[in-house]
Amino acid sequence: MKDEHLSPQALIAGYKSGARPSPDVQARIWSALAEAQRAARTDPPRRSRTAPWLALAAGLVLFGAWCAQDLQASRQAPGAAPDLAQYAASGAPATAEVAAPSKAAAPFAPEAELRLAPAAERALAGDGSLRPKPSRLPLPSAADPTAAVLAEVALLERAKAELQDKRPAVALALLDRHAADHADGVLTEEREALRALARCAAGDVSTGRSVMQTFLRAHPRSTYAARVRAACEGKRAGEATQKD
Amino acid sequence: MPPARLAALPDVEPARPSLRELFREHLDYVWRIARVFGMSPDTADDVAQEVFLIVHRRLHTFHAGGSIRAWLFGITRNVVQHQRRAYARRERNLATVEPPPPVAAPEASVELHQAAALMQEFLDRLDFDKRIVLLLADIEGLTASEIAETLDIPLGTVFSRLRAARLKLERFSQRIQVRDLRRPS
Repeated sequence: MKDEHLSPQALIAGYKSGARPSPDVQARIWSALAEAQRAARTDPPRRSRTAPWLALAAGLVLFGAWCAQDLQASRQAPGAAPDLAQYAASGAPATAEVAAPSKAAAPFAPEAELRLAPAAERALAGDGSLRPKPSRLPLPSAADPTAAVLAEVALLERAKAELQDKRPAVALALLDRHAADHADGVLTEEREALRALARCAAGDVSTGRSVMQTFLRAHPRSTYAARVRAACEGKRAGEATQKD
Repeated sequence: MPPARLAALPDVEPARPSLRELFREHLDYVWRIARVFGMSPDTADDVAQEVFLIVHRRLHTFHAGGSIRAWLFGITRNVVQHQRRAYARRERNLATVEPPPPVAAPEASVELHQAAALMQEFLDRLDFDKRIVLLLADIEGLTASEIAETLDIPLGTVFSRLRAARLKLERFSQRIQVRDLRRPS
């Protein structure tokens, strides 16, 4: 006689009702889930956790690029030539010495963020007129901190590029735009440093110095302090020499 | 209704199930998948807990209207793989630690308990490809196309593996019935 309780159907039915976590385990898992739900409700919003890191990364990207440009400028500057020539004459690896700092800055620039920046940069790209058009860069939504920081980076990168291309007026307009669009932005320190540089580069040394002093008071330990001081003080020294 | 008006109607998106619903309806499913992947009952408990914690964090990413069981299967498989790696590390570190005594099985009728144990024995011996298809089809009730989507295999493969697994189950059932008859009462 066939044992019905050992038929394939009975085995499957038995397995379905018997192979499951015990009631104790079910209760344990549910309480872990309830705890996770409670924790999620009391956690601060995501923005406050992400934005500071992104801001730090963005600041470091700007600073790293700045350092690299400084080194490039010093390489090209006539005053720097003898030092490099000495290195070359002594057989020391001059190129490596110069290239090393820009390499050192690279780890601080997360590739993902850097790759996204050109998209924001493209949004900024315009017809080359002196006054940037407000419609070029859509205002990021407050709910998207990543987009907001990237937009800030793009704006400041553009201002920096204009400054390098000896168009401080455009740079200042972009910095004003940044101040208007990102009054509570995370890159205000970078903006004010650039503003001081732009003022000094525009030949408006007295305003530049005033901006520089305000900047140094607000950010006495800023990584940009030496750069700002050197730029504005250098201008002042240059002016004094011309007057003499 | 004119097509223009039809187009103007908002899309009705199927509702996303709540965590409570998922837990109630699919906890056993997740646990059994973990078992079919070779996890011990205790480890399957941990896997199930981890899976539902992930579900809690990622439920918003589930595309409503998709197969929730395929989604859960994918999460469970990943957790099992992670668990295996962690287990291998623990084994290396705690090779000398005594294992805990086995926990008593939950209350069930003798016949059900026996059937469950025999089925587990059968599944443990079955090769993985057939085991997973049999579990999803005959125990969890997924359709052949759902299984094909879940396992990312052709429909024909689902049918052939299921046919082979059922045949083996049939033979296993016959063998244990004979064994049962021969046993002195």
